[in-house]
Amino acid sequence: MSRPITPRNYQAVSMTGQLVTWSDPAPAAAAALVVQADSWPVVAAVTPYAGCGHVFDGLSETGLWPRYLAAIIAPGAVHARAALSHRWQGVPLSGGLTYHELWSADGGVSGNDVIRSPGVLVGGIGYTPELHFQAGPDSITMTGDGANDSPSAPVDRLLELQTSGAPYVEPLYVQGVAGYSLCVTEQISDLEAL
Amino acid sequence: MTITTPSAIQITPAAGLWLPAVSAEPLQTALENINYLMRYHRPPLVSHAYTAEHALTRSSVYVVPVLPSADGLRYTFEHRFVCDTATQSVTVTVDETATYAGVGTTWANIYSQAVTTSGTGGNLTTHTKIDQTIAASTRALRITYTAPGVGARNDHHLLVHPQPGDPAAGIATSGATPFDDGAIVHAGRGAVHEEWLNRCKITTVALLQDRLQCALSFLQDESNQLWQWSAGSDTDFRSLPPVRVWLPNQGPTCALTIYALATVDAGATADLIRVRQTGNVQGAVALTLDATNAIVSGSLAVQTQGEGLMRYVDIEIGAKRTAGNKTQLKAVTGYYRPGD
Repeated sequence: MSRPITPRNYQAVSMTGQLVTWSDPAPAAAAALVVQADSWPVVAAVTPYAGCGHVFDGLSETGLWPRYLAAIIAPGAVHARAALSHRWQGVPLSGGLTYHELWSADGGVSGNDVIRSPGVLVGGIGYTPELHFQAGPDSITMTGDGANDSPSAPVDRLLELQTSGAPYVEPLYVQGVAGYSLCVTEQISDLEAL
Repeated sequence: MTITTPSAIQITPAAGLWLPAVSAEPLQTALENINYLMRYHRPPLVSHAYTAEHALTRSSVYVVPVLPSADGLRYTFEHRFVCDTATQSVTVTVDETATYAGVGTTWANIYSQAVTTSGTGGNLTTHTKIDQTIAASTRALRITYTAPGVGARNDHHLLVHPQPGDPAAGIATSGATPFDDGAIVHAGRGAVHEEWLNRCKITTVALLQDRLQCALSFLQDESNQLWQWSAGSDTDFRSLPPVRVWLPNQGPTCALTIYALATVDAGATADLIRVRQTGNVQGAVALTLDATNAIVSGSLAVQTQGEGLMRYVDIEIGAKRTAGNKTQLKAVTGYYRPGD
């Protein structure tokens, strides 16, 4: 028998009601009630925290290109994807952005462990995107959705996370973006293995 | 009586959930898990990536709107910055206030510490400070970094998350109540009381709703913003790049509480800051806030897109100015509270 994570939508359940409201002062605990009681702290523990949308200028001025940041990760996480915000203006050929480099510390910070996610590919003939912050068209792209924890080259792939029974801080890095957020996209399949 | 706090979430095997109803287990494990949550539920109070000019040779001061736990918890601060010269001394100071009032604010110090930066110029310095109490009444944190003696500094990110100790007996201000084993060890000889069952939910909900989750952030220097709204004759809203906020498994409608700090150099201050959901989502609304150099707040209703863990909303922060004047946006903090 395994115990998968059962997601809970807090918008769809009562956050104020009690599990039991019998008038009997000492009711027996029916198995189904114990299951409910057990699920509240367990689901709360393993539900990923909101993936914070960080808005920042990481692209419009020389030297602001790299960005170190971090996220605290709830228990049970396995992999994640990042949402990258871009803003650009079309200008005569001046060299465009072909990819963003990023990493999670758990997945490795150098060599083939570095993730390369495609950059902004827009503009007409003779024009390439020059990154800007305060004005211009914008887009949000997602990093790769394929798991490859031992890559033989820096490719676009899922970010690796620690799978633990307590929250931990995951150091992160990205370059050349105007916004960043991390989404836990895969959790442990069997909580009994946590 | 002993309050047992597991160091990791305890998982009762699925088969274990079907034991006889009056046994101490699996309810005792469930109740110990609320002790675990009281200590280990650690959503970020602050997760802000600084927007500042490159190669700072001056001190920087950032003011972050916050709404900390009602329980006056201890928090951990993680600062990330880079100095281009090795082994510099940068003093990190964190202050708090219940009422932000611009330069006239009365700040109370949380801690101040000289940090020796990385031994390699250009490498990341991560300064972690644990066990710092943030008062329940605090509404803003002030973060100050001094200039390095040699070279320049780039500010990257600040993470603040709860790190309380083991729970103490009694009902916390948040409504969370820990469990001690003084009663339930006798459950094998009597019926289990409904309060134990209810405590699993009530304490969990109290913790979820007391420890807000930072879901949106933007932060510039209090006095030296890299970006201001000042150019040309344009007085329309101009937005920062939109960003994706993840709300796993939640929706279809949620509410974010938005705190903002902005000011003007002159002129009217009303409704100069705008936070809205983007992406042509039906029912999306905008929240406007004033730029009065006070921390202002409002609720933004959002419609989540996507499915499952990848439920999201795209949010855009914007500002405008009045003719001939500048608007200076210093900080935005957006919080998600489960159930809202």
